[in-house]
Amino acid sequence: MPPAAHSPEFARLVQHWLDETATPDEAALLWQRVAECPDCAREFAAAARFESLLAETVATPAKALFTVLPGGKEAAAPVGVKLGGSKPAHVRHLLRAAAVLALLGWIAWLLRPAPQDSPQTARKTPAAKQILPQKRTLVGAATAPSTPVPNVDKLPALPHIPLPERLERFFLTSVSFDQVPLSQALGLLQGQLQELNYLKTADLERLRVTVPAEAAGRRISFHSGPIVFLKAVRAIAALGGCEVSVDEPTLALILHREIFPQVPERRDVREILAGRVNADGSAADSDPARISELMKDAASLGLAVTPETTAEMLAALLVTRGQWTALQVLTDAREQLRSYPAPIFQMYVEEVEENPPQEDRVLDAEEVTAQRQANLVRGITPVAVVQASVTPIIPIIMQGAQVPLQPLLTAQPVGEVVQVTATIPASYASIGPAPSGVLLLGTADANGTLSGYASAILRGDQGAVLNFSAANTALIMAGLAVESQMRLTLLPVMPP
Amino acid sequence: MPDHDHFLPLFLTAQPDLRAFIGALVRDPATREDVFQEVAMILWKKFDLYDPARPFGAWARGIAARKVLEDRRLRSRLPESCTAETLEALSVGHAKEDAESPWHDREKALNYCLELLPERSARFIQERYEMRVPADVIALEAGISVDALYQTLSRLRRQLRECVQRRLGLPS
Repeated sequence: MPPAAHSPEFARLVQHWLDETATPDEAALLWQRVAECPDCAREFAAAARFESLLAETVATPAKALFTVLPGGKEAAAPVGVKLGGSKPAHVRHLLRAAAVLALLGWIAWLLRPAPQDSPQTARKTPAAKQILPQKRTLVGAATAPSTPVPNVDKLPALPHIPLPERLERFFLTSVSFDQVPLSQALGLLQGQLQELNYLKTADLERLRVTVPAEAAGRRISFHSGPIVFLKAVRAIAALGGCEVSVDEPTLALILHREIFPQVPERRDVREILAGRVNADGSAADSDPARISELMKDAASLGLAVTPETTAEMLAALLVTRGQWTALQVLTDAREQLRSYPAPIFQMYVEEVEENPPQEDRVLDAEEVTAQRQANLVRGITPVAVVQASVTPIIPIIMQGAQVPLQPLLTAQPVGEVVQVTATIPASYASIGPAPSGVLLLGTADANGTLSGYASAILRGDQGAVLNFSAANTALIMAGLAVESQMRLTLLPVMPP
Repeated sequence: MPDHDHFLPLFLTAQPDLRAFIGALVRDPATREDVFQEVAMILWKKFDLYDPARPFGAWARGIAARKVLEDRRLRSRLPESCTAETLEALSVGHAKEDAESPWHDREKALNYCLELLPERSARFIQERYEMRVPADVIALEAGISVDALYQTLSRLRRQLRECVQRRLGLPS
């Protein structure tokens, strides 16, 4: 007996169809029921309408608002994506109306009379899909580890920088895509960009990315640590058989005319390191550490590289054009990170005199000046100069000697700000939460030992005050004794 | 003969339902969007043939159905039992649903219901519909099987749909 319209069996058929998990038999049965039973047709219509309603309400309405513009590009009205109604319904309707108007405009453009002196180009140009800014509200960026929310209230506005230049220095914290459609990958990247746009820079919010419809569904795998936005887009575009054209405020992916999937060729991937030099002037292509990084990056792109891969094998790896470009981008990204101008701080340690002591916090530029003057008056001199580092080992310059220690300050470029994290050894940490400014986090292990770190979002002109309730031991710096109730002050030194 | 000036308001009103109708036939989002745009263009070009005495939505769905059935690639993804008559029956189903409550009322109600979702449920919905994360990836992240995920999504959709019905004062 065939399932009735409101039976669980029919509901299952409908859901399997909508979930694209229906077997051929289930699909045939579903459509047969729709044909024979008006109630089933209505129930199926209701389910399909609800599915569409849900998708349109929850999802970035990118698809819903795609409109084709003259020249074969599509545009879409910017719409937020907060679950449960990011924008009021009337706003979405207005945007939708605008989108449809644009569609009609394009249709009218297509139907315009052909110029006398040129052949009518009635062929349909390849469409391009625009990836909308995605602002996640309930779920963090799937491709980025969560980062503490920086205190940006006191961050001064950046001077105007052209958009392409800004995108060349705007850091995403990480990127990780496994077989993600190109259009979705770009949407996620743009979502990360908007999420990290702490400064709410208008031109970043206006940024539009278009992708040719032909390439939109191509699946991309790409993994990277911190990488600037434009590099990530270039790598992903190359893997999808496209090139990037920057025309403020639009990044347009242009289809590379080639066979896709791309045909791999045998190449020596070490050529990517050729001509590059390390900070100490040594050649990168003979540096085992650089070759190791290159191999890791190559493996992440799906090249046949394992730790056992020999130099001879590296010399004849099968690589596609897109993989080659992506590997170059990843190598560039590592170099960019290495040479990143991380802020330098003077460290002052002083006994806490106030009662109660001042709270851990970020110092703004004015407070930095005041603190520096106060230190001068009180005869307090810096105990060290520390450069926050994006690498695990940092040189600490003290008494003329460079002593490699565990990193005290690590810097991570996040968007357009640098997040400096002061790592405080376990048992010395003053565990937060701090009410503002410096964010103190802590966890306790099974033995009850506390470990924590203070995280402050600092710009080059900011400082920080961190309190310690440490007892009687050497702390932080070689040979430096820090008594109980000491305070560490970090005052910035502008990078050379 | 209808004036093209009248096209826009009619199309704006009908387009969510038209999308849903096409969505019932074409499940791949990119293809679905392509079909929608092509149908929109056909509607515009053939608007002179539209009989204003008939509902615009039904006319639009009819053109969309013909478009799908005439496209060999799209047709091949539908079972044999999906015929022109079947699609006509589906179109009638859409018309009844549309008559019951307009799209924007449902949208408002759904927004309200989505706010009531617990965080984990909201995350599933968001990953599935906003981020279009593949089901196996969502399941892996959530530490559940793909089947369990589909069941969860099915349950959530049912709850949301019932919530919308209640909100609109419609029978469940």
